[in-house]
Amino acid sequence: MTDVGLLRQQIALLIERKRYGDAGRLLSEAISSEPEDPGFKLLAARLGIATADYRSARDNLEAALAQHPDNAEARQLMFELLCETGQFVEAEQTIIGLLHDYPEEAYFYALYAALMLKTLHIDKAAALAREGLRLDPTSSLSQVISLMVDVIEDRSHDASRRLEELVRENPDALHVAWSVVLVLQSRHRYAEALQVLRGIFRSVPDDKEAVAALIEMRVLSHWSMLPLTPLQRYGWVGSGVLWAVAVLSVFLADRFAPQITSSLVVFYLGYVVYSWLWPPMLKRWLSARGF
Amino acid sequence: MSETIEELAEILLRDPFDTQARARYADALYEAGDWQAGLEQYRLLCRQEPTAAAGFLGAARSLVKLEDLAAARIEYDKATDCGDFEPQDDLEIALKDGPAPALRVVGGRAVPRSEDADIVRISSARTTRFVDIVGMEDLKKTVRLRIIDPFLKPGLFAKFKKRAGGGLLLYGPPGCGKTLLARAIANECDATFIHVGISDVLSMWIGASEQNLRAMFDKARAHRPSVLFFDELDALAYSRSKAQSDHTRSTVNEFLNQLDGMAGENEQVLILAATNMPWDVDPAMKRPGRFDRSIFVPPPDAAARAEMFRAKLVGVPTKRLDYQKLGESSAYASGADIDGIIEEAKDRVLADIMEGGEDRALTQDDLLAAIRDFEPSTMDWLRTARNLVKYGGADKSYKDVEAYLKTARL
Repeated sequence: MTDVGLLRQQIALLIERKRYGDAGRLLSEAISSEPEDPGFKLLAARLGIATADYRSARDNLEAALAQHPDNAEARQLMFELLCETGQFVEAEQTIIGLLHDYPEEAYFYALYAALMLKTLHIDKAAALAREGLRLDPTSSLSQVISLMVDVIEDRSHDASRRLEELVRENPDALHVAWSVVLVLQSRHRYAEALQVLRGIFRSVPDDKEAVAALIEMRVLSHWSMLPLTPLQRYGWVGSGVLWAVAVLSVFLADRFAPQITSSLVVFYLGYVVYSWLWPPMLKRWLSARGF
Repeated sequence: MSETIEELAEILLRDPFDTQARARYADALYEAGDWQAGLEQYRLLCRQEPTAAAGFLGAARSLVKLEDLAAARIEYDKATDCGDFEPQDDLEIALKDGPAPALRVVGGRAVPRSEDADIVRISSARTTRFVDIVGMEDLKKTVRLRIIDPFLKPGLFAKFKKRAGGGLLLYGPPGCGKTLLARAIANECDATFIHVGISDVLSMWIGASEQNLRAMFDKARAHRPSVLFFDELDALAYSRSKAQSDHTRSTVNEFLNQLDGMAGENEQVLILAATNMPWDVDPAMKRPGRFDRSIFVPPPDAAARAEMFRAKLVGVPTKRLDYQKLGESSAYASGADIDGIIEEAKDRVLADIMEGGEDRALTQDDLLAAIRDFEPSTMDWLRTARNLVKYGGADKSYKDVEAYLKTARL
C-alpha cells in the first residue's frame, strides 16, 4: 500500500474509533499536501457526517463528485448525508441512481430498504430487503431489515428481544433501529419500542437523543399510563370523543339518576387533571429515579 | 524571518500568552547557550501548553546541557505522555547512560526500538508510588488487596486457588489519574512497566498490528514479573459490534488470543488497561480471564483537590489561600481541570497587572472566580455514566459508578 493509501486507512480507522480530533488533524495535513485527492475529500465528508458537521460533509462530497460524478462511494455517502439531514426525496433519487448503475449490489438494496423503513413504507422495505438477500444471502443489513420488518409486523416470536441483541452486536442494525422505534411508536407498541431503544442506548450511552427518547418511551409504556390510552392512541379525536361522552353521560345521569351526577363530574374532572398532570410528573419521577 | 532574542522578549512583554513566541524565545535562548534561561521559558511553555510535547522536550534538552540527567529524563517522560510526542533520538541517546529512570516505557511503534533500550528495571527513588498519589484512599486500598498483594504473594493466594496476574481495567472520566495509578501499581508490584500509549496504538494500526501486539505480550512475558499497560483501551479493543472494518476485528481477536494466554503463559504478567469510554470496549474483553476486574477511578475528592491546589501552586506568588475551601468549591474537577483553573486565575492576575494595576499575588478570589467560570471536564462523562446506570437496565458493569453517583448525589 502507498503512503497515501496507508494514511487514508489510518484516518478511516481513527474515524471508526471516534478519534475525531486526531482524524481531523491528520486530514487537514493530508488535504493541504494533496488538495485534489478525492479519497481525502470522502474521508472529510465521512468525518463531517460522524460529527454532524453536515455543511462540511456536503462541501467535500460536492467537490469529490464534481471531480468524479460516478464515484459510487461518494454517491453512497451523499445518500447517507441526505438521510441524516432528512432530505428523503433526494436520498431516494440518489439510491435509485446507484441501483440503476449497480443493479447487482445487495448493499444498495439494503440501504434503500433502510430508507423505506425510515419513511414508514414497510412493505416496500420488506420487498427491497428480500431482493437484497436474494442477491447476497449473507448481507447483514438486509438480514437486519428483514428482522426489523418481522418485529414491526409482529411475525417473529420474541423478535424485539432478538432485535435488541442485534442492535448491540451489529453496527448496521444500530443505524436503522431508530426507524423501528418510530414505527413501533406509531403503532402504539411502546414496550417493544422501549426494548429496542434500550439496545440503542447501551450501544451509544453518550447519545442525548437516545436518552430523551428512552425516558419518553418508558413514560408511554408505564402501567399508570393505561387509563390515558384513548388519548395516546387517538389524540385530539380521542379527547373530543371522551368530552362528548362525559357531557352526554352527565346529562343522562342528571336526568335519570341524579344521585350519581356529582360523582360522575368528579370522576371526569379527576380524569382531566390526571391526564394533564400525571405524564409530566411521571416523566420527572422516572428521570430522577431511573428504571 | 528570524527574530532576535530581544525582539522575542518584546513580543512576550506585549502578549505573555503567545505560546508560539515563547517557544521561539526558549529555542533562541537555548541556541544562544543560555540553557538556564531557556529552561525557565520551556517550563513556562509547559504550563501554558501542558498537552504539547515541545515544552517538555525543550526542558529535557536544556537539562541535558545543564548535566541534570535525572531531571531531564523526568521531563522526557512527561513529553511521552503528550499526544504529539515523537521519539527524539538525540535525547534517547543522551539519557540512555543517565541514572535509572522512574519507569520503564516500552513503545509499540511500527519500527521497534531495541528491547533493552525500552526496558529499564524500576529502581529509582523517583518512581510514582501510592504514597505519591493524592487522595483515592479507598481505591488504593482496593487495588492493594485485589491486585498488588496477590501479585506480590502468589504462593499465599495460590493456596486459596487465586492466581496472580490477569487483567484489570481502570475506567473513569478523563484526567483523573488512571495512567498515574497504573504506573503506581507497577511500582508497588516492583514489576517492569510496559506502557502502550495511544500513539503507539495508532501506528500499530498500519501494517502488522497483530504481530506488534504479540511482540508486546512476548516482551512482557520475557520480563516477568511485569505490568503491561494499555492506555485508551477503547482505541485498541474497539467494540467489534460497532466497527465496520475487518482490521478492527482481527486486532481484537489477536488481543483476546493474547489475553487468554494461548500463545504463552501470562503468569506473573499483570495486564492493566485504562479507558474513558468503557462502553466502546469490546464486551469479550471483559469476560473471565481477560479484563474481568474493573475499577472505577472517580474524580478526586475535596481533600485531594485541596492538596492538588497546594502542590500546583508551589512557587507561584499567592496570598492567603484557603486550600480546603478551594477543594470544596471545585466539585468534580479533575487534576487537569485544576491546572486549567489555576492557569485561568493566573491570566486574570496578569491581565490586571498589564492593564496598569499594581503587581499583586494570586488571591483566593481569583481562584474562586476561575472556578465559577469553569465547567469540570468530568461532567459529560459522569452524566453519561449516570444515564447508563439509571436507564441502562439490569447491566451491573457499572456498580462502582452507581455507588459513586449516590455518594456524590448526581
